Amino acid sequence: MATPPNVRLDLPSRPENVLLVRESLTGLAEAAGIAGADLSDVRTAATEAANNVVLHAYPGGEGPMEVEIDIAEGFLSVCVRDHGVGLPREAELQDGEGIGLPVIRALTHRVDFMQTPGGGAEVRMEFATPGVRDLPAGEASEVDLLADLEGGENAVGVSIAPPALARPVLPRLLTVLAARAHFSTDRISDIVLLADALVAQGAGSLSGSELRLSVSVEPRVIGLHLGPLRSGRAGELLSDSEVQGLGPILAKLADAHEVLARDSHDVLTLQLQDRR
Amino acid sequence: MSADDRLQIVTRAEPDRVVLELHGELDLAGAPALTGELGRSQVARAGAVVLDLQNLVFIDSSGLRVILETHEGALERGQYFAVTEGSPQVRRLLSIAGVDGHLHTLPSAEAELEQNL
Repeated sequence: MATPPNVRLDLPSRPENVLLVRESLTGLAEAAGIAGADLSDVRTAATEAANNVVLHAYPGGEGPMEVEIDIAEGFLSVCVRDHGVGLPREAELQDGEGIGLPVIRALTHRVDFMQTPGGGAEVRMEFATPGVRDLPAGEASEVDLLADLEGGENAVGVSIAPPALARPVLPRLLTVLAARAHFSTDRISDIVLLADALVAQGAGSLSGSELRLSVSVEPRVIGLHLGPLRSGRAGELLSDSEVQGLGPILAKLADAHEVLARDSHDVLTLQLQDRR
Repeated sequence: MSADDRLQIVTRAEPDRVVLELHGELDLAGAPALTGELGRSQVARAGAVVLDLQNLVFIDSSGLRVILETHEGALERGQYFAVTEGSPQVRRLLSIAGVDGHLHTLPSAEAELEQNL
């Protein structure tokens, strides 16, 4: 079974989504003990690679942007992939913008520009992080139940392996998305609490050792799809999600919830609305 | 401040300059807001414009591009344009891009303009 990256993001190639890449890096780096100038360089280079997809991969439009982040064997690696017009991305950077590529080259230990199989481009960056502890690897889920769920054109896909790494990453991502959905400060706090509960309670319910979420964002409404969960575990997750003595927090914080049974697995859907 | 672009711009008119204080992160999502603010007549007609980067914690090449375009536009108009030193990340990007030596850089937004001319 393939080893999934520590974090994978599936994003529409929009300017506002580059922030999600930086927030994921910050959370993951926090878990690995990377900080200061090292983290700053990674955030800068990854931002430039993601900007390049937003600006150049899909002329006149947008398309999928995939970001994979891994920390292993003394290196933090970031791969930014698109399925757009393809290479020469390097030439585009040099001729069209002039700053992005030199910045990436200056800040990375190694960078490779490649064609994505089937069309598009891929930028693979490695950053030396000597002395930093490796993050544990996860195990990919065998089934993908979220791909065909109706998430809308704003949907963001997040996969985290192993699920414990969601603790420093998921609250950051959901905070950004809740702000984007114009949630009140109180409701943003709620969604952070919900993320904590998912991390604390969800790992034992997963099928495989990878936490997969699809998050849809509309004005004042956020939809979360979590899966694949083991059959029958979505309902238990709802009823058992006890945090800080507050009772079953997932059911309390969500305005609506639904359990979908698919292919001998569960998908838990939660909807949160801004309550102002 | 828009929903999640993390950029806040505070514009302050002073007797000899207009100061734009940037807070947060200046990236591809936030750059259009800065371009818009710099294009306002109050700023465009000022004798001197200072972009205060001291509270800016992150900048990318699209933000840097706005600063460079403003610098060039100011040169053409005969307008004084300066920036203040930003965070280590901001200083590093300006240095890597090789533009730090081309911009007037003030120690603070209140510093005398002439000393760097």
